[in-house]
Amino acid sequence: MTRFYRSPSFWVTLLLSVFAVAPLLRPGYFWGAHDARHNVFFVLQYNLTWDEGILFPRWSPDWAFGYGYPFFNIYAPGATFLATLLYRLLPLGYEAAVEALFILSILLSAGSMWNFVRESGGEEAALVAGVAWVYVPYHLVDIYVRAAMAESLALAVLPLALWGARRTVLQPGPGAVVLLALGYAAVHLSSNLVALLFSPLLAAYIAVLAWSRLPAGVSQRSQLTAWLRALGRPALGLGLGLALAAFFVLPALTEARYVNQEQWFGGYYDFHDHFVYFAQLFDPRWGFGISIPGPDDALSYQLGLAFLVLAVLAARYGLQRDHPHRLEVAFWLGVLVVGAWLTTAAATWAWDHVPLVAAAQFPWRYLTLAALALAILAPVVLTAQRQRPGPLWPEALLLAGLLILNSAPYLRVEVIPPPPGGATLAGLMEFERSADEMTGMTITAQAIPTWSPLADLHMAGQPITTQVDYSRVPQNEVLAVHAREHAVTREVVWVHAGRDGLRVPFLRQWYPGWTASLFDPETGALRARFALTPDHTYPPYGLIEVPVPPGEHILELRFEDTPVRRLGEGISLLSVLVLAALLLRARRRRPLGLSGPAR
Amino acid sequence: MAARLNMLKPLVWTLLLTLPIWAPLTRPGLPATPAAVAHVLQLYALERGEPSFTGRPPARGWGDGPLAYGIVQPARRLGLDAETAIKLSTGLALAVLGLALTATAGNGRNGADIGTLAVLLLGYSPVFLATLYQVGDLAALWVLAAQAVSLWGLLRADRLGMAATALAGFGAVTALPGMGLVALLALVAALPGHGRWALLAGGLAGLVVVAPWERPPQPITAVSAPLFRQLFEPGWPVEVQSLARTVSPAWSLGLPLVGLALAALWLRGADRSPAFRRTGALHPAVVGGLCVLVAVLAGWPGLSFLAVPAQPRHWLLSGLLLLALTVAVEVMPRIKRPALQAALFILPLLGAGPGLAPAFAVANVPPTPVAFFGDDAIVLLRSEIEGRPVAGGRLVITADWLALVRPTFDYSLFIHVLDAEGNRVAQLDTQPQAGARPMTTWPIGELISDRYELSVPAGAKEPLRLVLGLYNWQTLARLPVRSRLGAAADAIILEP
Repeated sequence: MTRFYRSPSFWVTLLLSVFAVAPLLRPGYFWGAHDARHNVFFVLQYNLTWDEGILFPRWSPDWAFGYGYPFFNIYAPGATFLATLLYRLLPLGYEAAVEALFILSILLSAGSMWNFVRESGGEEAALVAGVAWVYVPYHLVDIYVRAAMAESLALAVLPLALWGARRTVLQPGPGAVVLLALGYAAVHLSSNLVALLFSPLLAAYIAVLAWSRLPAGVSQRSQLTAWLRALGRPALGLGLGLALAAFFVLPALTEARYVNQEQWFGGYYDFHDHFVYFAQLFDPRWGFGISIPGPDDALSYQLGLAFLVLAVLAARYGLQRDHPHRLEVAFWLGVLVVGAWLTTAAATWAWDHVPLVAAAQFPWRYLTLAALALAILAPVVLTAQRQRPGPLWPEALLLAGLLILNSAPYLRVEVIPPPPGGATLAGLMEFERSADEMTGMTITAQAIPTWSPLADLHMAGQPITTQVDYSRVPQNEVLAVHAREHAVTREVVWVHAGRDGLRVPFLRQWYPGWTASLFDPETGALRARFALTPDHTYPPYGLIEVPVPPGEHILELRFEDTPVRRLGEGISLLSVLVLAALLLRARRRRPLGLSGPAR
Repeated sequence: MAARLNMLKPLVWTLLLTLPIWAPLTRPGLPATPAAVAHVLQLYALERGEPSFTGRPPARGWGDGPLAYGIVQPARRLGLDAETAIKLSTGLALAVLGLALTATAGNGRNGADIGTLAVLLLGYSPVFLATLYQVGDLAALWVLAAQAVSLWGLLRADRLGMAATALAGFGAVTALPGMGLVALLALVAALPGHGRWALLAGGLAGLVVVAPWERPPQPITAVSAPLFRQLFEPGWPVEVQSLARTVSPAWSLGLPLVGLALAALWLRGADRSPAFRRTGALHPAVVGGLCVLVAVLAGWPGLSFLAVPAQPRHWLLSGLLLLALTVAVEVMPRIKRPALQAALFILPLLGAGPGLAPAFAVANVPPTPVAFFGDDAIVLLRSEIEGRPVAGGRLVITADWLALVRPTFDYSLFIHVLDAEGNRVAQLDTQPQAGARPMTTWPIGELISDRYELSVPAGAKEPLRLVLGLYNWQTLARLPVRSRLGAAADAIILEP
């Protein structure tokens, strides 16, 4: 099997993605798409923090009208990281950087699916699957309608994890383990929600693959042993993947409880109002609106008509006894059915009672799994005729063309003029005020703010030089504060406290990691250092106030890594070393270890 | 057993491939078609033993023949509500049509794929989808289903086939007499064999059953027939992104069907197919083509008499089934490779158009309407008065209206409050929805909900009565009105 970059089929697949890329090249930006504004402000925030030398910022300073929010401590940062990187490396504005990230995710989707399917179906099938994955309607909804940057990147890397999983079972080796680990880590770092939906599927896929390789004619005990043995390497790959992403996953899992999750799941986000009606799965209309209760959502939840035909034919041809991948086809048909079922009200019981199902937030998110299955099943009809004479590429191109034709009417973005403020901090404040978005709060908040003194400064275009809440500081002999230094995650002030029991208030939300240090103003010697807790906040927004003893001090407030974060970072570093060692071993065995056996 | 299961497989594939056609029936409410509410009312009426919900013989075009309603009676007895029963009848008709057509071609030794392609070409043609979800012609659907069953029986040419043919002939005529006869005669013309006699016998028996239900043909004033060009319009006449469904009922045969028909012509020239080897019968494609031609000609001046036995849409559909099957028979056997088969199956879906995204409305149809205005053109489906009419009180009346024929004049509505001596003590004169929905904007079949408020003077002598009617605001002439079984009058009394 040739390397992927030497295959014309691979490049044709990428070229066929151009129709999906083209709408993103239009002048202007699709400000009207659901998360289009969020994405721009994510990059804006990330970039501001990078300016201060923080490569992996967990704290976003201008969320909640400037009170800040630990967004990237609990929300997968991969897409924002890459978009910010594009913003920094290329001569692009914030909006163009986001669009570039989407374009990258489209091309990566095609390429990763091509590589995954080539393993089982050959290059023609890989072309059809790559095109199908780009043009399956839910993927296009994610890009053009929802502008879901994190989810789009996750969709692009899912096939990488599947490819690695397949390799670790069918062609085990260090290279395969590295591939699975990288793919799985990429999924976790791209989107928490997709990782949550995808992980059980990936585990089941590995189990099915291992099952399909069981030796015949031996005892059940031997079969079970062989099956468990076959699961060893994939388990190692998954473990290393999780370890690689531990710097994000571990804090996200353990510290998400310190933010107000009611904002994610209550009210409009109640999943009972967002089930997909069965008919909507086949409704070919398109729209740029939002999900609403009832069957008349203003965006599409269709599976795709041409995709449906190919899935039915995959069942017909792929389940035949002589099909080489019968079990895999059955598995993906099962994923399609279960994925579609979980979007509908027929799965209410599962949503109410099965752990983690409801974590998807919206039922239609399970279309991710259905769409993945549709793309993988699309070329099965092609592989069914492998034994027949004649070249396959004309039919592969025909099917790819029909899939593109199916989705051609949906290939458009809604470019509208930028909202007030555009991609600036003032624009962010306007957005937070007008849309009540990006106003996430931590658990110490008793109310959600609607404005702040910091927002006034942003609107006036003035820099923020301190976040001390001077409205609560009398500035007299009892309590006086003088700001010395200010940064995104750090603040230094001079404090005079006239008596015991006084506190210095800040316009910053509390969250684990905020630490106060008191220094002697004369000598700089450390007097006290302590982590702030929910007891160190004042209502109604749960903002930080630091207790100071009587006397003069230099107070440093700093957002630091908690023990959990440090543990996660340590695990990630260790896994990098292990993966590097495995990669070296794989290179000794076979260059790169990423090319498969001859077909 | 395994062989029998294998025989079922093509039927399963067909059902799955037609999911987008029947899936809308699972939506809540009824399709927003001119006939949907009338179908439910008609179901209630037949269950009461009445020939029609208007209390008169049914008008042509909806409610003809009892088949569509009788078929769901077992489900009704099990407690299924009337609206779902109507959707079930629609779904059953689709299932019978799809399965029979699939089996027909399989029966003809050309492989089940032929039948599947025929079903897709027919089912995804815009004219079929418009009939299903824009016109709501349930009876026509059942005729097509019966036509497909007849076809299956005729090609089977054994005793079971003869019985099925006769039964389907009976069903076609009892579903919709005019179209039923056209469909049967098309089959008789196109297919050889003794089964034709069974078909005719079944059809005649059906005529005997439905004759008492039929109103004598009305003089034809306007015929809704397709223009020639409309047969070949693309499937998506509106912007696909638009969520609005302001699409007039489509007449298009579907570009995939037309394209494959041309391919079939070419292929026949190159290599004569053994399919439909005929003795003493016209080629099915010729018969189908003639039916389509009649549908077009019926719209021409002087040729409207062609629409007397069956509406142009019915002519068109009867021929369409034969055309779809013929095209599939000619094309599919030549396609050996699965990927090309897949392409053939995908094409009809891509040409389907907005018919796959029908509008639905939650109707909640009452078993009996309150009153019929102006020769049954406008129906007052339901009226409710909040509270009792008392002197000094304030009355709120809600009403649901339905147009069975598109109103040609913006009639006004009056509500009079009459005292014990018959004196008018309060009145309201208004256009529907306070002028927001004048009657000429009422599409046939759409439920128009309205709300009226009026105050009663304090000294009015009780008991009070409420009287409602419609009138021409230019001439002040009132529109005749009758309750379902009551005598004609110029207003009705609203009961609290």
